[in-house]
Amino acid sequence: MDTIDLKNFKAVLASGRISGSQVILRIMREIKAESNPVLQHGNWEQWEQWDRWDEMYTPRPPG
Amino acid sequence: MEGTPRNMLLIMKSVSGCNLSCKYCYMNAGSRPSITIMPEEILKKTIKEVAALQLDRIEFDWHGGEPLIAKSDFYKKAKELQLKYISTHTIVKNCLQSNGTLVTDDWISFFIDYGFGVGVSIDGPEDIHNSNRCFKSGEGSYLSVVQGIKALQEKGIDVHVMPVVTEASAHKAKEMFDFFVGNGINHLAFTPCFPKSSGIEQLYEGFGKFTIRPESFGKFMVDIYDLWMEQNNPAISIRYLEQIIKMLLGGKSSLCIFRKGHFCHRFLTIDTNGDIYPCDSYMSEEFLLGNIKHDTLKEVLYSHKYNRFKENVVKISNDCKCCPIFDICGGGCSFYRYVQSGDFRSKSYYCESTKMVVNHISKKLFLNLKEG
Repeated sequence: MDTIDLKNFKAVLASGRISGSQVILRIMREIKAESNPVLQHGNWEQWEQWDRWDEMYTPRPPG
Repeated sequence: MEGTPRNMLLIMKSVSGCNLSCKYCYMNAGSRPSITIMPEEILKKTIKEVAALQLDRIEFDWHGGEPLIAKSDFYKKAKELQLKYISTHTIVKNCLQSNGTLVTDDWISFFIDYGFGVGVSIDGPEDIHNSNRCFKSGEGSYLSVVQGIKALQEKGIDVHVMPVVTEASAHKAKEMFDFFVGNGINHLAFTPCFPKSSGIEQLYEGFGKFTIRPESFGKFMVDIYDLWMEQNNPAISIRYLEQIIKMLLGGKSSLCIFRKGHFCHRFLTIDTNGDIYPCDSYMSEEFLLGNIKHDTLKEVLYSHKYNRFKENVVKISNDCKCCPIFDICGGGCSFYRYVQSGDFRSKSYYCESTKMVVNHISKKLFLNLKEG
């Protein structure tokens, strides 16, 4: 199955126009936070600008 | 010990019966003539056996029946035995799956003081929940369960819930999603109603009449995904969907059903009488591995029968391996493969629903890329 091209994907997320972008960013942050992550697909180097992405993640209270 | 997993999850059937009589309960827990609490000798032997495995991590999941029918002294004893016998090098976690009707302030203090995680079974709004989850009198349990959840939340306990989705509730995704989110319940593990005692031929008869059909479950989860994304609330976690998103983004799933059968050997079930089975989906004579009273866990884990089970659960058909979503679903839960024909190489009973959900999420994510 095709998987996500993270290089383009982060730009799309950064646009803030996507349905569910905050949820997806939270999941991406958790993938990144896992110790010694081993990717099944994709290239970890594509995550190099992660720190900047993380700043975009602003949790908000439920509801 | 070489050959054993480093992390295990032990499903402890601490109570054999239940104060509810849920219509779809495949264990028929509410109709048993007597309720048995796991004897202390079995509790003690189990914990000593776990200690002997020298694991990196062990999770005790306390199940029933209804585990709160046992007094908190039972679980205090369990914790005492864990501290006494299990090495400090092993991470020990305790979780308890309750129907929520017996939660009291004393229980809440216990959960907090002893570090027990709590999962509650609630199926949704009152009409949906009460249609199946009733006391033995026939009265719905909704008000008691909600009272229990509120009491837990007031003390800061983050309640995880496991709603069972039936064929009758499958078209009510929005009602269910709004109910849970509106009540501050953010951790959701929607579970397809699949009475496990049914043979595939009787799947829609008896208890099986509650069985949710694959296309209905797939549609339900697709609807839940869309509602979740529309709300865009990162505090909400929907286990099944989240694991699929994670894998599409290149991560690895921690959920057993997506691990090609390779996580099945991390689970063991200890029944109230000490009988040992693999994961509790396999609680039948065919998969009985021994009894903790006279067998050691090492013997069980190295037994011919258990090794056959380990070999069999990872057998996946070539049709599955060639499927475009195989890297994501991994063939699905081994039990849902086995139940189709008694052969683990069958495709999962929920294959079509998984395809629907994976393709939907994938399409949405790729569509976003194109729009971007």
